[in-house]
Amino acid sequence: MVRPLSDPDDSSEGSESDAGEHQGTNGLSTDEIEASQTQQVDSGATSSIPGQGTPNCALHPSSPAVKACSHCGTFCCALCLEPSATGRASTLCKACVAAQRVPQGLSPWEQRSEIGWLPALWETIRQVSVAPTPFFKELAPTDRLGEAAGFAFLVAIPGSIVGSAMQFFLGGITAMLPALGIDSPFLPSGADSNMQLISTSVQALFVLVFGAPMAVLGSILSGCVHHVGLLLVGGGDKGLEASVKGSLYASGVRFWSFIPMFKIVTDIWTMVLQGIAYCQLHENPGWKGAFAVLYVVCICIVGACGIGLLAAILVGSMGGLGSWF
Amino acid sequence: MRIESCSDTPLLAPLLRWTLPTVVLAGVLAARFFPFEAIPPLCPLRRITSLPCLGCGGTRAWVEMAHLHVLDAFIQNPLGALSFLAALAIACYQLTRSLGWMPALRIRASERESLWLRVSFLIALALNWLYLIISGVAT
Repeated sequence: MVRPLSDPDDSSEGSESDAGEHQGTNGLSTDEIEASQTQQVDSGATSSIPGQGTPNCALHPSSPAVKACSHCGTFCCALCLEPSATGRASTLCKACVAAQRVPQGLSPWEQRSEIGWLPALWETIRQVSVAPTPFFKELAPTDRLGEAAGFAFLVAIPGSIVGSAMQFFLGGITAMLPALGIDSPFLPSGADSNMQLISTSVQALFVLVFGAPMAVLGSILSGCVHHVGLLLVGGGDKGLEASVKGSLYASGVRFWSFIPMFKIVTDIWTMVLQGIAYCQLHENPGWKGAFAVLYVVCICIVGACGIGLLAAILVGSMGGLGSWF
Repeated sequence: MRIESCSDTPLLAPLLRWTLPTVVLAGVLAARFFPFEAIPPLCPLRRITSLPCLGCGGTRAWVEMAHLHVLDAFIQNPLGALSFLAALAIACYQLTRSLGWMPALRIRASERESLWLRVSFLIALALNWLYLIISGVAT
């Protein structure tokens, strides 16, 4: 996950008193890293060498800088940048992270004002799709629920547009085939054909207008229903908000439903991600997350199998009884 | 087990605080005015196995409750009818709590009571489902 970026104004709060307690990953304390960086900056080590365009790392002058820390602005090489859980380099240096100058647990989408709307949206979709476990592990379980809903709304838009177009296209073709001379008992004819065209258009319009809001509402409600499942097995310690937030972010994979006929895959994928989200956000074991997502379906399936088994036993015993007579 | 009022419990996030009552209100209005009887049953489990799922008859129970036909609602799906009442109670609680008219309520239960509560809920789900299968009202 891309580490959070924050307002520099509040960076000093809480960092001075405990800065010395934190150790950087190089074995240096925060103070030592800072002192070293300041010294390097003062001595001009961070500036680019005249005639060359690449600046050097503040801490390792022999290494070229990869990027500047988005919080303190220090030039950093790959070693000095805080690695993110998703494997990508963060935009923060290790000193800023070690000193806890920035709030943790923000998704890229929640940092969109710093990294831009489209990159933030894409990075969140990417992380949810490719690396959901570290994404949800680092996500703060509560707060910023409205932003999560906004994310779920935006990612549902492409799928709604494509779904609406598919509905209109397939329904329209089916309705117009009789007019083109193709006849089949499965196809509507005459007035039915016109009615189907109107009905298809209305359905397509409904999907287009209400698809994204309904997707958000569905995610919120499924989060509530799944939270009941978590409570049933003694989970859900972080509260309803965490479940709903997890459900909203898990719906990020619905973005891929813009690929025609891919919706069923994204629906199943979303369920899997919801399970992962509940486990990570509530710090519950995996089976509780799986139960929360599947408990209603499981009860039905297990019950149906039980009834089938009972019926088989009964029929078998009846057959056995029949041989007695 | 007892219900206590807590003054220090924070409110839910604004999204949930207002969404839950709105959804319940929309559900009640839909149950009252939308022609659900025109829509064929959508339950996949029923289509595949001809057995009702836990929620089969739930929509009809809500429709009956919205028309104040309480007995008919309980016949269609007992837990569905109870969920209507529970949803109304939760919506009213959230609304009054958001407006600051009442304090937060917390159910305090021991570990044993909490376990019994969960097991009872699961048994109620199973019994409700058994009722749906035996009575055949959902088919």
